[in-house]
Amino acid sequence: MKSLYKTTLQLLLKNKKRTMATILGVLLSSVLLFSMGFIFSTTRDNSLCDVWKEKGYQHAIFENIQESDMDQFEEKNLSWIVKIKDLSVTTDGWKKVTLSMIDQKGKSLFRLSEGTFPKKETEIMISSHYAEEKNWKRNDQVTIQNQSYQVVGIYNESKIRYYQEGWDASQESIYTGWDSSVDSFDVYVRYKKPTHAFFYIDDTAVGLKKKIDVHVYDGIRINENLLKLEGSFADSKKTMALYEILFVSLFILSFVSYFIIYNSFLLSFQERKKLIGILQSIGASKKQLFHAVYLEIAIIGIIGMGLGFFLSLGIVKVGILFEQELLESIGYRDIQLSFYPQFMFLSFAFLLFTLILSALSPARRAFKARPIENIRLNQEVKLKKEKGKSNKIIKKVFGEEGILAYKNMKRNKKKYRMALISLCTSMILWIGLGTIITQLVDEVEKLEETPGYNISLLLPYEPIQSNLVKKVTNLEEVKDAIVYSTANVTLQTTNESGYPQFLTIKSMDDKSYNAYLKKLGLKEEKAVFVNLEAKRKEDQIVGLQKKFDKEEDIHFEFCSYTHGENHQQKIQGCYYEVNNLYVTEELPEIEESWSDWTKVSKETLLVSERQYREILSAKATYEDKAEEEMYYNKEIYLITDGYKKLDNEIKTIGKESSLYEEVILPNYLNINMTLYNTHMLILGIKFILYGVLGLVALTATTNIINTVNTNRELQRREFAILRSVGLSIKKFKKMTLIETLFLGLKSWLWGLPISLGIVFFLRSIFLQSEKGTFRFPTIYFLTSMIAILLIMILTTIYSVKKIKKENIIETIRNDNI
Amino acid sequence: MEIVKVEGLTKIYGKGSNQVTALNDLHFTIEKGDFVAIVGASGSGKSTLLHIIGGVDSMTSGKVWIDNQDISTLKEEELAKYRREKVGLIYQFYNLIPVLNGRENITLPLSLGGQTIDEDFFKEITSFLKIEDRLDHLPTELSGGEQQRIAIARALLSKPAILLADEATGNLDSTASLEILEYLKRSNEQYGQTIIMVTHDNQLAKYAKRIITMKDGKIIGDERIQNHEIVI
Repeated sequence: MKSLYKTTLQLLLKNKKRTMATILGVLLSSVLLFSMGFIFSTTRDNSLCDVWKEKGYQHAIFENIQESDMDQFEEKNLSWIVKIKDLSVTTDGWKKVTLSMIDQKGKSLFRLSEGTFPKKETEIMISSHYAEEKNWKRNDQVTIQNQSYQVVGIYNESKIRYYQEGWDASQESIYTGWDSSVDSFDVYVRYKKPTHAFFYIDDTAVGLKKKIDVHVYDGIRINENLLKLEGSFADSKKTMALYEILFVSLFILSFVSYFIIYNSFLLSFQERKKLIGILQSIGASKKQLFHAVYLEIAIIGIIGMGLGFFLSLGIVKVGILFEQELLESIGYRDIQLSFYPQFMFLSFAFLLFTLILSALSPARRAFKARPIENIRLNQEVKLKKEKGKSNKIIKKVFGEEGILAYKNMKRNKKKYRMALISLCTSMILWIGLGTIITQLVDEVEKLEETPGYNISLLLPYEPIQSNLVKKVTNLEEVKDAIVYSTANVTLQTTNESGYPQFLTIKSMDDKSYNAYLKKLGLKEEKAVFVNLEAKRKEDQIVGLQKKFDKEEDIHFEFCSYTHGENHQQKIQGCYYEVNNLYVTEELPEIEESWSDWTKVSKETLLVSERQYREILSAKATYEDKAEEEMYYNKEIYLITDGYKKLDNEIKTIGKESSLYEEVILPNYLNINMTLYNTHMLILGIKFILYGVLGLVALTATTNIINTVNTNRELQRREFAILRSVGLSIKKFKKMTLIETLFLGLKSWLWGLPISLGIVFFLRSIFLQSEKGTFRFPTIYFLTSMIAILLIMILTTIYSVKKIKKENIIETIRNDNI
Repeated sequence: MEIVKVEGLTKIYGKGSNQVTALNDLHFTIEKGDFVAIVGASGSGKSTLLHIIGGVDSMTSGKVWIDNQDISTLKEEELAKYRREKVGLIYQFYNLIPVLNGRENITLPLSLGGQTIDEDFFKEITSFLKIEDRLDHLPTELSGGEQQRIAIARALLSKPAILLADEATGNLDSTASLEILEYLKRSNEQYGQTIIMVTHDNQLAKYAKRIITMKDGKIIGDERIQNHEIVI
């Protein structure tokens, strides 16, 4: 055996080129599969970090538990269990502050920067940033909810619930020592095996009588996102969890990797066929030969997978750095490259399985042959009588070389079948993934659609409106502006439930209103009922839950209501009537490019500024109120070429008002500033998506090159024989190119319909969602069709050049084992 | 004592109208310690016969007993053991492992079987074949004759029941060819080694004690040479 192993090692060293090619195949597959492992590990760990900070490390919180129920938590394979009783929830500025009692078992869940864990009800433990914010120090006596407490501990890490760092943390938790006399409390638990968590939760829920239905509990808050990320699913059908996505991705990529590695080993064994025959003839058993293959797999695997591991680590790291660079400007927190053992092991397992399978199948075939067949490099060929018809057509179109190429394909059916599957796999993978990525990119790009204006400002109070509107719209940087006034009025009509019907009325500034009238082809001032549904119902106008005939003169009467008995609303009287409406689904020009949520509501009455004032004035008079009391908003939409400068100018004007922080700033939106963040985020997402696509393109291309190359290499001896009987290089080149063309076209024939099926399957998935759209991936179909032929032809030309240089008789003898 | 017994041996290649009968119902025996030459024109089936006896090719029908063992019933692993221990095959193109040196090539069958090497016998053979000083060389560093002598040593080291030579001198010049034949003859005489040699050269066949002539897969002649001391 030692000699056999030495032979294997020596062969690997001697055939450096072949060994390198095989290692390269394994390396590429390793990069692909390990990168997936790293990407998913990073996604998981970063998501976990978010979940931990937001919800805590516990798997579940059992609410209102009594001391007598605590035996239900025994023998549940718990990592930790802690009792917490919320005493009060108050607000401190914008923060929600919870004061809770915690038992001593919770000590291990905190990292104290100072002091001790609270033992008494009069002692408290606070977070370090809250201590800093409130300027509370250890041993300070503080008052919370009229109760005096002594600060005994300061923590800077908590494994249970809402722990956020920084001044902007929206929630704070303060803990006091445990009082054993409490009636009921919440129990926080974390299980040792997250994958078994649902089983134990269910078991405990039954014991506590908190189970209502399958996976439905009363008084149990399950940290579902955490459990999903840790690999536990209550109902796996509901969500495609990270584990499942990784599994499917690895399965698909392993399929392509199989062909890459298989082709490398196939060539390797083909070149060693004679050697295998000699070893067999001097008594090497199949088992011994397989042992030698295992050694080869181990060596190539260790080198290829080792290098692949570090290379993928580097690639993902660079990707993350680039991603961080993109996201840094929008304040996104650091992304840490993670190594989650389970995901990495899954990648490794897939890779190892693929490697063994793809190396053993050509080995098995080589060892199956009789020793003398291997020594003579014979191949048993099964021939069927060929139909003359196809031969004639091929001869007419491609000549004698075409016939040779066709016969080659017919004769080596098994080999060509493998090549065909390999080529189709590349094609399907490219088109399939391309479809998914097109959809995802389309989805994220929707976020970047601009609404047609640069800055918007909503002003809800009259006192700041008139002054600000004028100042802002007159700013130098403003290229165009549109000012809306919006109010809600009550109609005379009631809805199906008998409640009064409301209608939004809007007015535009005169300039915009006139432009709108012009767009509608109206020559005089007219109230316009914008009804976005109008177009959809051809013979009727549907609006305000009422159907109008088109011919009918639609009119609205605005009325005041009073509350009667039993909350019944009664019409008090009407104060204004709008007749002779113009009904349209056409929007003012500026609004056409707005996304749905910013457009005027489905049914809006657009009137002139004059009429708007008239309506509100009539309402104020009727209801005996001051006009200013009529609730209405002003909306300003600004178009500018210098959004940064205008931003500063508006903020400077705004700060003059005492309501700047409270009213102006929250209602101010600089689209370009927001879009910049969105744009960077989209760029980040696109980078990941196209990165994966690029990796797959590289794999698919390598697979095509490898497949063509393998085919050519396997036929070297036959080609040498053909050349020895007088086939010129020119004719030989023509023959191989025709063969390539046949194979390429055949891969279209199989690959395209299968891809089409997959695309339609994906289409049905994407269209399932609300507002789902689907873009047919024409570009991926075209690129795959062109690329497959182009790569195949180029590889063939290269191989022919190589073969041209070979010595005919040496190749025929094929002594170089 | 019979060391080879062949009964109704038939070998057919291909199927249907494409089938070729390489061996057609052969019957013969070979005595232990005999030196048999199988001659015949190209395509007569002589090499196929040798390969089947050597366990490197399969038979279509019939029975072949080697040293009282029916090789037609052997399974894959048993056949590998048979090739390792019962036969030694010498080919026209030597078929040495290019990455192993002379010594490693010679000892390979024994090391595959996990057997210990009889160093005395190893020395005896290598000295007998005059390759003691070529043992550390790789096959590419050896002449054709030397390579073939290494191949003979490899075949002899396991003390096989029969030594099979398939056109063993076909790739050598006349001097080297005669040298190889001399070694084969001496190994037959000195060690009592049974040898079956395939050749298309009738003159070389005369080194053997018995000549079997084949044509179209059948034995057409079987003669024993009375005095095989031939000097060419």
